[in-house]
Amino acid sequence: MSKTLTYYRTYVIRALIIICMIATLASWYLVSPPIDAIANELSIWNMNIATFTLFVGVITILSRYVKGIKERADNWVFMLYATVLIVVWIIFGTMTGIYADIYQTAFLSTKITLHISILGQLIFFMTSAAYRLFRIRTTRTLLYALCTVTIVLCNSPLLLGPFPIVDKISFWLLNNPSMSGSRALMLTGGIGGVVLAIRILLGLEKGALRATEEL
Amino acid sequence: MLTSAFTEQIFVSGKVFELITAMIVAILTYVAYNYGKQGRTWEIRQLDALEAIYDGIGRAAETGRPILMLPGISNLGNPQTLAGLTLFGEISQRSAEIGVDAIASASNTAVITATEAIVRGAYTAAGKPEMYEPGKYVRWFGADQFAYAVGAAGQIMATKPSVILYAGYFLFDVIVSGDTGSRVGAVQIGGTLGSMEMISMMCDHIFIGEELYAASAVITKDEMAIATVAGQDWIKLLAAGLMVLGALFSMAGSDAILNLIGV
Amino acid sequence: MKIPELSSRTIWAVVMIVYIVTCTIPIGASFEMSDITIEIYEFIDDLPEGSVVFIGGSAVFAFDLESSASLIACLKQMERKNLRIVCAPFGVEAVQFHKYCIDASGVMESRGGTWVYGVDYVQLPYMPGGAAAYVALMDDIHTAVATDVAGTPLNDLPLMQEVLNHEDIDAWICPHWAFDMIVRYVVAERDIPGIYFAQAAAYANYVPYMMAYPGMVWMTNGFLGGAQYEKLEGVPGLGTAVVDSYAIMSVVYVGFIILGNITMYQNRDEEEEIIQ
Repeated sequence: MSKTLTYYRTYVIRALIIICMIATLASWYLVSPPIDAIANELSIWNMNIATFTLFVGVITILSRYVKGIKERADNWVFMLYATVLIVVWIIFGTMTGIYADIYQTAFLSTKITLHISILGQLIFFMTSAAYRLFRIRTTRTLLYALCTVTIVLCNSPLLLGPFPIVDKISFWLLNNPSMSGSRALMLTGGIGGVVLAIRILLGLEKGALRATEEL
Repeated sequence: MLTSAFTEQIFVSGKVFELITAMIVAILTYVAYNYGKQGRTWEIRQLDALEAIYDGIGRAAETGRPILMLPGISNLGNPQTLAGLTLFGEISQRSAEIGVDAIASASNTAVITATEAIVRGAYTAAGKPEMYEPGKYVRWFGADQFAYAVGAAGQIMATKPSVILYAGYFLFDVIVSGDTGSRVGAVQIGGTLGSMEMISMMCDHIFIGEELYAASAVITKDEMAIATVAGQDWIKLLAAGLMVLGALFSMAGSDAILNLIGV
Repeated sequence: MKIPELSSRTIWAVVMIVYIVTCTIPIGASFEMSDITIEIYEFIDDLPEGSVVFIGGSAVFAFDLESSASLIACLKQMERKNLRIVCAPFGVEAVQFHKYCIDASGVMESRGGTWVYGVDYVQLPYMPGGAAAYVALMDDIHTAVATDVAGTPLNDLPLMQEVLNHEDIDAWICPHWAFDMIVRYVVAERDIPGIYFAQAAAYANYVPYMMAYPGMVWMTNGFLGGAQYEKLEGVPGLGTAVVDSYAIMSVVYVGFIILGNITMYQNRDEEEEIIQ
């Protein structure tokens, strides 16, 4: 593809994104029924694109796996298994509808059972990680361990019963020191995300979305 | 003046201050970008986790074990995922140059496609396009955090990476893969916003908060991207200043700042 | 007595034994009622008959099982108060989760309850798009979604003929993870009260929203909150069943942290000798 065509393709898309962004921002800040109508339409289109990406995702994975199966790549048996499952579930869901009792039973007894088994294991991982990690060697680790122990115990029903005050202690801890820390992370992360978005729009991001390299 | 009937006809009530803030953010970012274009440089302080990544690449070369990168469970629309992929792009290029395998696995199919493109580009940029094999470096483990967690844990057990980089959006899946990574003796480096507490439990080095975004600018050594990080810091200073003012005014019993923000 | 460094296998075995014991031998650990859970209960109780409550958010079914304890009890309460619900899934698994809760609560006519589909409750299909989906739904439900999950046009459903946009929503219950979206697009922008049946891990993240929006946002705390809600409604369920495990496991968790530190201090002299 020629360099000129690449640039045109990149900049036209960028301009389109900026126009849509300005329309959405304008509807947020300005009182204007026509802009509101444009923003609502863009929201619907956004939902359409998100739906489209679901299908793209399935096609991407199926094409990778079919290729892997044909070439007998590593773990091709699992690829075959996954491909068969994807196709079976698509047909099953289409035929019965996802709100049908039979679909629900199949869903709960397969996917959700596996999910919950992994979720149930989290406490095992967390307990062994806690045993290994909350070793008090410095002031920082002392604070870390103290906060963890306090919050865990304050939420425990065994302690809440005889000492109802721990509910208020836990509430205060979560709403004051914990909130200030997490808000700080959220604020700085939000600012960083906005600046990253501006970097991508300006084509400065030389990473995953290189806009100026020849493809 | 800001609350007159005229302005209420133009601006949505309660969002005037927000609009002014957004414009200030845009202006500061543009000013920083402009300074970058004019050649002004800033020194970013040393990020321990970034240094650990550089050391990790060397460690991987010595041990002959690969580097594993996990970009999390979100899609390409998440800034954390994008920052993670930028880091991975640079890591995979440096790894390709010195003959180390940089592998990745993701939960979202769009991220898989982007990651494959990054690996392909890395080998091409390193002058070794023949080394690239589709499907060898990037694995997909189900569009679901627990399937991803278990798949990533299995990949860690099978490949025994020397360095694992968690850079993206994670929830509880990082507990499973993080614990598995510590069992195989990998150096773990993490950067995320949502699950900081779990990343900090599992990882040896972490990017705290927006250090992940700063790292994605710094690792490319691109001066204009670093300039935007400076703009980011100016915005943070403004936000901090406003918070301090708000706290002081509140303590003095005045709602002036609160009323200003609510305009 | 020197405590040896425990392997992960030993720790996992102890945790497994604790779970087996608490599941098979009911300890009957008591729990205190939370003021906030009582506020939520009274808020739902005070809603006028026929009020429309939306249940929705982005879902991970396995996590949301923790919220199901509160939600199932709340569904029974809403059935008793003749409220009406619309399930709005913004996550792929949310459809299945909503169906699971409605089936488990037994509020449908087919399961001995009084609710009729289309009249008392409606299940919307999965709406992709994140924030865009929330905005589109709030502005005009019938434009955002044309049919219910089974493909029936919304205009054919008596309940949805009355529910057109955010002005027809009296409360929003979120039994899923991403409550910040609900706060942003439902509570803050549209002044609709938000109730969050939170997972214990999410509670820590989102509890500041209760301070930020007093009287508009309430949260229950994981299985404990579920047990409290079940007690209020008088329907023991999943929350009540797991309180024992929750109580004992919290103590065991802290016990291992203390044990790890004791082991470290006991072995500290040996480590210093090795270093020297």
